[in-house]
Amino acid sequence: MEVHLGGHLAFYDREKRSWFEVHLEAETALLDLIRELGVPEAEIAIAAVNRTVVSLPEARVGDADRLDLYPPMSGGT
Amino acid sequence: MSHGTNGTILRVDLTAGSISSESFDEAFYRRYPGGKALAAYYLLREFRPGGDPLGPDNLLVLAAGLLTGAPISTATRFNAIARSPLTGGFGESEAGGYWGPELKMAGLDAILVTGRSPDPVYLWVKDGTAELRDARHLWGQDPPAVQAAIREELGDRLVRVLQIGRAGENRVRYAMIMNELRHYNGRTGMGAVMGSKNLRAVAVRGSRRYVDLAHDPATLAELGKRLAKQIPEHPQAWDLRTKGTPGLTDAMNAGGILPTRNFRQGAFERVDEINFAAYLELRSGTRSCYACAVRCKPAMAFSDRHTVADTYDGPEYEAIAGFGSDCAIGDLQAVARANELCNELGLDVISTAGTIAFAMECFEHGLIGPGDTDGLELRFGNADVLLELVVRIADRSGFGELLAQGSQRAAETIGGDAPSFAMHVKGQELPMHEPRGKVGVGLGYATNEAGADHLVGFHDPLFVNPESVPFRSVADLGITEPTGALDLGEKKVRIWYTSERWNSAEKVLGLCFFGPAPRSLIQVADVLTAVRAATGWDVTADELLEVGERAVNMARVFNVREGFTRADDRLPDRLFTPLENGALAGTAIARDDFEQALTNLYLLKGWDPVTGAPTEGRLRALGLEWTAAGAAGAVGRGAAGSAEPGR
Repeated sequence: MEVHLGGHLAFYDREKRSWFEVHLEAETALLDLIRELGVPEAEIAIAAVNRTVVSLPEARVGDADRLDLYPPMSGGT
Repeated sequence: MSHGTNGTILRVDLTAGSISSESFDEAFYRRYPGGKALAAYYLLREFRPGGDPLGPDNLLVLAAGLLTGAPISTATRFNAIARSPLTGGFGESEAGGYWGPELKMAGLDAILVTGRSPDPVYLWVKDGTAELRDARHLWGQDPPAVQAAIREELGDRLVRVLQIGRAGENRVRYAMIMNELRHYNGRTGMGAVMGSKNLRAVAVRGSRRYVDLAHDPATLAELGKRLAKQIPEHPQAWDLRTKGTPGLTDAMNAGGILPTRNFRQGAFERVDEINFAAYLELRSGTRSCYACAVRCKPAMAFSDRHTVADTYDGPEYEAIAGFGSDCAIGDLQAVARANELCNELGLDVISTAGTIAFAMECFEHGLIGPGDTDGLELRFGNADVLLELVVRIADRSGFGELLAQGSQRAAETIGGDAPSFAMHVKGQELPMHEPRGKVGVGLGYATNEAGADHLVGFHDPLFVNPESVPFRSVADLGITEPTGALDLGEKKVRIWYTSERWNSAEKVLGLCFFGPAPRSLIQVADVLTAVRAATGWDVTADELLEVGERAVNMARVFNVREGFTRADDRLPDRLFTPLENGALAGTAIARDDFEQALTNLYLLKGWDPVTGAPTEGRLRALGLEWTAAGAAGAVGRGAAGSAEPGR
């Protein structure tokens, strides 16, 4: 599946990647995937699966999905 | 002299062509340490209520913060403050870069400018001495040429140049001030005030070092080194350096709070053409401000469908959303070119974009037609028209003359439903942050004395999760209870009250919004260490919050004197109607909840819930009893506040 780590969430990827692919053998709980990716749950404000916002504790994802994760958003200049 | 300051303020009367300086003692600086507080003090003391913002009597204050120039990341900011020609109220805008630190190194804490020069001039400040120099040959020139000419005339390529562009010369109500071409005091039309005084530029050069002003130079230097080492390893600093504010665009869209089509919608169907991935294809690098390890400033250069040179700052999120989604333009090259034009011409990006989005909606509703717009098809998504309009606004030519007045005045002229399309507070256009998804930001838009501004307080999403890094970083400010982004209850109001005072303190200290908690690159304790080392004062977080609150109250008294009341602390009606699309489709702010939150906020601030004016008791508690007469009632506004700018 395609994964996008928005904002500073990419900092937690070992290679600091914002976009990458992971292979899922079977549908899995989103929280389990996030823990495997090493992204702190407390830093995630928005999770979107196939561009639709989902509930972090309830969502499940599969290999064909696209996942976007974003931290809390503050101001720009 | 008070440590951390130069103890000197320069006074320039352009009508008389005279220059003098004055000094204050430590007791004065502890109450008004710098930046917003110092400037507001002078504006309240010396501006005659009701005076024309674009007349010679307006007082323009350029004030460095207390810590501006200290060798600490983000201690770069200075304020430009005057009566705003856009709002008629307290005008203020901050910028980073190198000019503010250089002012401090040149031996000054602030420059006060009054009067109007008969001919264009620029001010040259070097190590405490100053002179006015002829700028007739610079008037009408592009900013890079002006900067180069001044440096050549002064024989020093390291002179720091602050200046206006064509829009400032033409007194466009939302003209900005730039320094070093890449840093901008964007908001509330401070460039128009400078232009109205025939002051094209202020060049500064200094040889002092901030540490020599400090009470404890060793501690200050040690803190600066530690932060320079820590900051690059901080996740949010990494984000600002590698992605910058353009990294927000995707998140805003996903969350349903990307202002689109003049704030009708919260998601943009062509977001992939203006998002971070699109931005990466055009970005050429990043730059820094003085002594700052964050390095968040975007650099951009490309030549394709449009051409952009690496002369000015590249587009930040505000430009991308403002000219992109809010004008429904899915073309980042055109957006970047519009951003470059604003910088070249000296226009505030946010107000320019907001005013054009307003005009596009008027056009689509038939309130104006090609006969009004010089034949321009002013429809959402028309990038060519966007670029043409930016130039006409700066030159106040054709239809640009109407839009140069800002969306509020343009709406009054157009009539009909036009005022309902003007997305402003107190006449200043909304930044690209959607209050229907961040209601605390809406409280800030409504109550801020300078009109809609997104840097007045902390944004709501930072306070949802108590385990998050931003939330944990503000415990030292007394914020310990989380609350939802859409909550308008008492917890949110308390958070907002604290955050507004803290952000105001940052404007007094000269720290960038991107540094201290809740961004948390610099912890509250580090800010206290910096102030203590700079000044020798045993300050606490509570004292800094009070310093921030004092500055807010001075701005509020200024507005009360000009006739502003609670009725001016209002959001555009559109925000009380549902968003049309996106993740928050159907979401609106509940008007009753908002009004109750406003009342609760006034009560916390010690302001009269009916009038919105500070009570005498609160002013006295803040040591502002000398302003109480002004807070008692309006003196001005009226004709002077709405006067058309002369040419």
